[in-house]
Parts: sequence; structure tokens; C-alpha cells
Amino acid sequence: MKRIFLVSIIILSIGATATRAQERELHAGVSESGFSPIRLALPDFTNRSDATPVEAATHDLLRVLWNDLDFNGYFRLVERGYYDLVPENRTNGIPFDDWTSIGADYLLLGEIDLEGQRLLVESRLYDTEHSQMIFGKRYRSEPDVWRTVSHRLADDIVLHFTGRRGISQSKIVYSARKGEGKEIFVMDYDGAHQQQITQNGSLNLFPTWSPDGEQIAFTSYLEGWPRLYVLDRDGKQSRPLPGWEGELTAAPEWSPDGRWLAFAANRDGNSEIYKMKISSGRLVRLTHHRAIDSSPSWSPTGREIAFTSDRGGRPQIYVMDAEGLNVRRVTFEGNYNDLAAWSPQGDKIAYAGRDRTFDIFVLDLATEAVQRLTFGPGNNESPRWSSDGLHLVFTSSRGGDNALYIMDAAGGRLRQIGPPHGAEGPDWSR
Amino acid sequence: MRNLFNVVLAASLLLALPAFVSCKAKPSSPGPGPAPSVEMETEDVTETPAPSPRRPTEMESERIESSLSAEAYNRENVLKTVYFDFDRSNIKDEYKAALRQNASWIKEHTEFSVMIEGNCDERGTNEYNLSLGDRRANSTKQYLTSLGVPANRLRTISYGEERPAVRQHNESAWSKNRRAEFRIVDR
Repeated sequence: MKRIFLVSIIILSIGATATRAQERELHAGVSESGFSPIRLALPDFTNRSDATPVEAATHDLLRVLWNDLDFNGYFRLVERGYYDLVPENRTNGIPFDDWTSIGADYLLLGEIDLEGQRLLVESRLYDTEHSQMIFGKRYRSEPDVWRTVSHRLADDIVLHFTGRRGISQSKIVYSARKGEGKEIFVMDYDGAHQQQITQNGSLNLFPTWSPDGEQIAFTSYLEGWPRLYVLDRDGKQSRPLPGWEGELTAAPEWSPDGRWLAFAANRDGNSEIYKMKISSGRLVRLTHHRAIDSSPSWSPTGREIAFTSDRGGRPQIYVMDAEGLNVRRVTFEGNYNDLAAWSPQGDKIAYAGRDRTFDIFVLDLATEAVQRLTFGPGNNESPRWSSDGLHLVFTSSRGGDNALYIMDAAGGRLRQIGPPHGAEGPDWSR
Repeated sequence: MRNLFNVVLAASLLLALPAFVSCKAKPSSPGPGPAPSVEMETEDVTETPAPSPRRPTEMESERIESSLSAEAYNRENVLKTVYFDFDRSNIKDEYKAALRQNASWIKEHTEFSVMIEGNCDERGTNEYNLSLGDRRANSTKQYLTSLGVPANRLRTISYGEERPAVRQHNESAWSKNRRAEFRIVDR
């Protein structure tokens, strides 16, 4: 995956009359819950070449694109069964009325060809009601990175409609059982390209992405005691952070500016929250309490940190400012709430709450309303947000063994991704 | 073996006796006859061979035992595991006697250090459990030092819920997994 993704993009044309009001309406719609999704038809791309790599890519590329657009939450894809009702393109062009009649407000068409040794993907988006093209892009790539083309196209379409960066090119890092230990793995957000990036046979836990997606911090027992390490995204270079032999250091979290790591450490007989400046190793202690303080999560501004503490008797979520002052409790329902994950927009905190088993909850910080997103079975924990704030990845034992699942921020579109057994502790790249 | 040596000794003395007598009879003739050589053989049997095969064997067997003993003691579970209530790290009364025994064993065996390993059941989150296991290990360490075990001979580590004693998902398994184990290590 380190191969440079060479893709050239040419904006073919932009429909001049795509109304700005219409786009604003769409944009406003998606920021609310219960918005009406964009109704899009996505028929098979046309294969312009009989070369084998194109044949293989045509089907797979569309499948991945369909999955991306279906999952991201902005679209409702018109069922493929209706596409047969639309006649082939006539001499006078695309039969927009027929597409409209099966419920497609928008239509995405694509062609795939081979240009020399490279894959050429050309895609055009049409507004069927106004019978006009509103977006068009051409992508060139090595044939074996067609999947990346799909994700890029999906994100470009999302950007066009919403003005937001999509999540189709994002990655998920996680810890998975391997032999006697647990190793760190990276995969695409849809579960493809699973890649093991540690190979030390020890316990490797709690991986988290740096904000730029270039590095991963995690806890490893490599030297016999839990210590923090930073690893390149491809696993090639790893370095330990300053540590203290035998002392617990766990669950590192990057500050939004990438300069600090917050983590839980035991330096004097009790677990407290610390932050360390990565460049200098300077250590700042943030909590001072006899209770267990663990699992820090930065607010997107970097000004506050959410964490777990049992200072009230049972584990609950607290918030403090990034210097450790102004500690306040934010969860009050339930008697065991843990693993806070601050949303990228800053308005919500997802966490795991226990009632016999763990489920995922979301706290709205402005209204203090709590929404429960999962209802078992098994334990559902370690929620992490996608960068658009519309999705969560988490660990669930609903299938018997721990595996990773993704869902939208209202608890819908649940699906298992990655290895079916022994995966846990995910983090979603920005 | 000892009996055999006694028999040989007695036989040698009997054999030597006439020669000794004859020597006394003729003190002026030490002569190169067989008699003196019999006397020397007798000395060889009584002094050198008897201790030599036995003492080195005894010493070697002691040295082997001491080099294996950290492992051997661990296999024999000489230090007793203690168990905790859910989400708790205080030492329960029922395990204080076991910890007193552990403390006196550690104090007697000054050649070792002890690693206290804190563990949890699977019901908490992995991250919180790592801290909870750490706290269990430390509260166990504190109890042992209060009984006079030098703190510098005790180390702690937490495995959270990563090293369950019983890989099942019920209260019986959980109660066996909420524990502090002791691992004897060379200093």
C-alpha cells in the first residue's frame, strides 16, 4: 500500500445550473438526524477494453464503490433490480425520464479502459430531473489499485454533494490475537488490505493513529512490562517512548496537533493521566487522585481531555482541561462507564456503558442527552469515530469472540469488518 | 558400600597382621618383601577411596538444585494466589493467612525476588482492567511490605484481562481470573 497512488484527475465539466440552493439544502439535510438521503442510481460501469485486468476491475470496482456510497450515509442507492426497466441509451442521449421514473434523482455512469499499462476510469454524475451532468472526473492508476480508485471516486462524490471530506479512503488500526500474543494490524475501513505491522510475539495493545495518519502509538509488553511505542504506518520503523521499567503505561492518545500523547501511567502505585511531549519526552502529570484514572481522549480543539475515573466509587467519564484543571463528571446514568471517545466535531462523547454487558452510548455535551446505540448481544466497547463524525467503529463479542464492527452514529448500518475472530481495540484514521 | 569397605578393611588388617608381627620380629630388616606393600594398600583403602566418590557427588547435587529452584518453586506453587471481588483491589480477610505464609517464605528465601502479577476478569474494559490489575498487584505488594517484606524484593506488573487463568465466560471462571499471582525470579 506504500506504492504511490498515481491518479490524475481532469474535471470534465460542471453543470453551470446546478443550483446552489439545492446543494445547501442537501448539505443542511445531512447534518441533521433523519435527513432525506440523496437518491442515486449506480449501474454497472461500461467496459471499453477486453483486456483481462479491466474485466476483473470493472465488477470489483463497482462493488466497492457501491459499498462506499451505501455506507457513508448520504445516499440511498436505487435497487439494481429496477435498472432493467430503463432502456439502453438512445441516440439522443441518456433516458433521464426513465431513470427519474424508478426513483433516481441522480445517476452515476462510468467507463473503464486500459491506457497503455494503466487503468483509466471515467465517471460522470447526472442530475436526472434537470437532464444535465453536474460532475465528471477521470482517474488513471496501476491496474491493481482499482480499489483505491473506487474509494477516491466515492470521496469525490461526497465532497461534491456535501463539501465534506469522505471516509472511503480512511483506515482502521487494531490489535488482534496472533499465537500467544496480540499484534497490531492496519486495514482499509471496509476491511480490505489487512496488514500485520508488528511481528514481535508479545502483547501489543491500544493502537491509535497520529492526526496525520503517518504514525501509530500503542502499548507493548515487548520488554516484559507495558511500555509505549510509536510505529510508522507501514510498520517499518518503531521506537519506544521514554518509559520507566516495570511501570504501567497504557492507552496512548495523540493530541489533535500531533505534539502530545496523553496516556494512563502508574508511577507511584496508582494509575493517573499524564501527557508527554513527543519531541522532548517532557512529562506532565494531569490527575492527582487515589482513584484509577485511565483512557484519556482529547477534544478536537485540544483544550480538554475526557477520561475514566472511579473517584466516585465506580468508573465514570470525566472531563478536565488539558492542564488537568476543572475536572467535572459528565456521565451519570449507569454504574460503569468507560472508554470515552470525543467526536471530531466536539459535540459528543461516545463511550462503553455497562449493564451486565457493555453497550455503546453517545452523550450529547450540549443537551446532556444520552443515546444508546447498541443493545447487545455480548460486549460492545471501544467506540471510535470516523473523521466525518457520522460513523463509529467498535469491538463486539456478539459473534462469540471479539471482532470489529462499524455502524452509523445512530446505530444503523451495522456490519462486521476485518477478521471474524480475535480483533479488538480499533482506531479510525482521520 | 560402607559394609564392603569394612570387610575389605578387616581382611586387609588380617592379612597385614602376620607381616606386622614379622616386622616386629625382625625390625632391622625392612626389606623389599610383600609385607610393606600390603600395609600401604591397607592405608589406601581406609583413607582415600571411601570419601572420594561420595563427597563430590553430594556437592554437585546441591548445586543443581539451587540453580533450578526459582522455576521449581514456581512449579510447586509455594506462593499462594490471592483473589479479589469484582472491580475491587482490597485484600480480603480470607486471603490474609495465605499472604502471611507468602511473606514469611519470601523473607526466608533472600536469594529471590518476587514479581506480583495483577489480573482481571473479562468484564471490565481492557484499558480500565490494565489499571485495575495494576492496583491489585500494588495492594498485594503493600500488604506484603506491611508484613516486613523489603519493598525492593517485590515488583509488580499488570496483565489486565489478557492472561485469564480460566478461559470461560461465567462467574466461576471470572472469580478465578480476578487474582494476583506470584512469580519467583532470581534477584
